[in-house]
Amino acid sequence: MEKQYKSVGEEAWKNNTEKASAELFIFTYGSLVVQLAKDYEDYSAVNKQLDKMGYNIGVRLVDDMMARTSLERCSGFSATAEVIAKVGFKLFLNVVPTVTNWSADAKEFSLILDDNPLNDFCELPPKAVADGLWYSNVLCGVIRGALEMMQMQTEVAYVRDVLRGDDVSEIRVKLVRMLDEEVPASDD
Amino acid sequence: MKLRCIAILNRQDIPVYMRSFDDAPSEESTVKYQYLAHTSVDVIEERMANAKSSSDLYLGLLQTVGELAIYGYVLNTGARILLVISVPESVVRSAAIREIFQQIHAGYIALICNPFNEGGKLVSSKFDLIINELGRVHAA
Repeated sequence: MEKQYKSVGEEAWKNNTEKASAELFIFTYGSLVVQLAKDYEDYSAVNKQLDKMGYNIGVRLVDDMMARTSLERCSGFSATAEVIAKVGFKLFLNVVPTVTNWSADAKEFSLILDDNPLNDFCELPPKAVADGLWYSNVLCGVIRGALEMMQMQTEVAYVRDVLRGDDVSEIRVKLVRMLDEEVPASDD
Repeated sequence: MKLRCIAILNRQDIPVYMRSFDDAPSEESTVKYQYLAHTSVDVIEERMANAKSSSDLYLGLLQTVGELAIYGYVLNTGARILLVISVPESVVRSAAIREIFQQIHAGYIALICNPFNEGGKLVSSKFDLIINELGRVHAA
């Protein structure tokens, strides 16, 4: 099952993706975060905005991903985790995080990112570190939005980040409940 | 070859970064290096005015002052990097100096690409690490 997802992701990356400049993307994202920081002046508000933006991206991105890969319904939450890591991240960021730290009830897991392309060249100023800025918080929103489109309500948050001095970046995904045939509530 | 000082000036010849590797840094030595940086700027301007082609960033030996030799390197954006070394007993290969400049240049690019970098001020711990490493290797 795992091998299958990995090959799906790699094949989709090779064949069904248009490539664009990585530097352009990284610089755009960096300017976005800096501008948000200047506008809001409060790093926790910046985190929330990044999450909201990510949510809006995620609800659309999941359809794009489904169109490019012909994946069938996931058998369970652990399969969902594998798809996020091996297909989703691979397709859009060309990195494959590791799925670990499953909780006892199998409703929570962690994604360990060794290498996040958004972080290239970035150094957080001391104030941002002190105020708790999660630079790539948009990724948490993307995962949350995508899973909500797949009828799962989740809470996704960063717990560790290399930009803040930790050794790896870790995102924690927690399944709150399955949504059955409900229209997901919009965020604001 | 003993590395003594690395200085980076911007296009308007204002020093944006200065790091000396003396054993006993003193007020006098910082002033001395700033003075050397300013005098070297004139030499840079002269070299660039009658440069045959602007494709080579490395300017070579600019001047020698007493026991110190100063090398220059210009970036395409106009910023200048100056390297002050104490005159060695043996001949210094320009390839070695070029390599040091290229490492500084690479570090400078990474610094500039940081989205949180404020224009004009070069404050970065990663860049300091790179410069420290160069100091450790060449000024020991």
